[in-house]
Amino acid sequence: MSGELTWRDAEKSDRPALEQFTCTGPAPKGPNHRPLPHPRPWEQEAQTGIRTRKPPGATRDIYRVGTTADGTIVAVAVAGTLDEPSYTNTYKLMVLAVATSVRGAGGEVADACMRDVLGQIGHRARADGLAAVLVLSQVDPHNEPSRSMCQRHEFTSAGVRGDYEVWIRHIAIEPLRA
Amino acid sequence: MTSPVARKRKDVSPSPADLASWMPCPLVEWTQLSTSVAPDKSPSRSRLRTLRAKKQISDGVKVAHRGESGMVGASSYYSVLALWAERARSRGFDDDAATLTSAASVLEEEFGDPLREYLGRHSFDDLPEADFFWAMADRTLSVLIESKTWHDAVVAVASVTGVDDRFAHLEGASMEGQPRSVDLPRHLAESNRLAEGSCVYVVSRAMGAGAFVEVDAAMPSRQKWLEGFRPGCFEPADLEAEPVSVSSDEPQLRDYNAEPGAPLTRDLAEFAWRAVRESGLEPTPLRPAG
Repeated sequence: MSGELTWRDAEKSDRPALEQFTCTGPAPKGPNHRPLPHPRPWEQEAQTGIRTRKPPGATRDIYRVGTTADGTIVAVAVAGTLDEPSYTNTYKLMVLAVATSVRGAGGEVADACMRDVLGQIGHRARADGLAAVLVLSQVDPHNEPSRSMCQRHEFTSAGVRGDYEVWIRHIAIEPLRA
Repeated sequence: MTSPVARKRKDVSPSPADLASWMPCPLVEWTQLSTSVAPDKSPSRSRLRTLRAKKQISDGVKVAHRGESGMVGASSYYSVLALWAERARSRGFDDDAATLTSAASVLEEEFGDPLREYLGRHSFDDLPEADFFWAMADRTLSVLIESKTWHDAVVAVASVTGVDDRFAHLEGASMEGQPRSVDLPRHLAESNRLAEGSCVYVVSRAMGAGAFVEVDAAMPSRQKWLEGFRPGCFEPADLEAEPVSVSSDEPQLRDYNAEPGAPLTRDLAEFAWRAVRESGLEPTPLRPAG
């Protein structure tokens, strides 16, 4: 599936599609049809974040989407850094989500999305003349799929801060070969 | 009509001219929305019901208020984005209205359960003390700052500097950061329960040959709040009290900058770099994409 996807920067024209982006199911209903707590609140938070976050975002944000051949957005990743010279070597992966329509492929699309956004961070860091860059992500301790994905991409747990685990990946930026 | 934040709070800092220091209260009572829809009429639930049926406003959040002996009443609240959607529609900004309505629905859905739970047992005035409040406020602001209507309609963010027989005098700044002085009819200030020091967004819209002026509560941004204010202490006397320490270890003061979707903060970056140093983590190259 991921091989058929196209990765690109999100654009303003993507906003309507992103407002409909679905990466989780609805909360289950209890008595009287009142919604019960969502079983995977991190998915719900990511979905809300994507639906309300407007690309292209802050100047130094990296806002990427993966699209199918027909242009449908099926994966979203957003990373950002601090607009301070001493932190341009630090990026936070704020969102990485895969649409429910392409789930069930063993994390294939999510892995491709992660590779893409890390690659973009690498490009940016290289353009900034950096030798290394630190990428971090906060993960709900109950969110096993994200924890596994971090491990697959050589992230290391840096401990718990607040309600979330912090995962870090220290990336060496190699110069482009001539 | 104005939110509890403006009702209870005597805003003495930060300066209203510092626009980035302020943000709107993310929730409004149904009466404020209804009044905005039909300013010359009394608030009406049926008017909102009609708009809901036409999908012109979000569904809102219905809260059952519980007392010691059971349910004591119910109220409906709306994302302030629903109010702005209505303002967008009245300006003919239909795309903006649709975006705002959609965002209002998303936020009301996500925060509906905690709102019902919290407001079922607490007063609307206490809402800023809810642990989800700032997350909702931040997301609301992120939508509003993209809204054409918001930039078009807000005349000023200003604080009340004095009240005389006929007018409440406000000093503040325009959305472009220019100094603004605004005089509001005294009855408008009184009906919104504004007092000296209250800070508001002054919002206007044309109505035929006239203009309709509304005031929305403005509250210090979370950072300002954490720097200088204690949650739950709005009155001037309390503002002089020692601020409590703000630590992520205190759940009632949960720092929503710590959320996965929030922008990177200096504290978090430092935390991560400290881990790199302490673990001696060496940088490794990315594997080729494939």
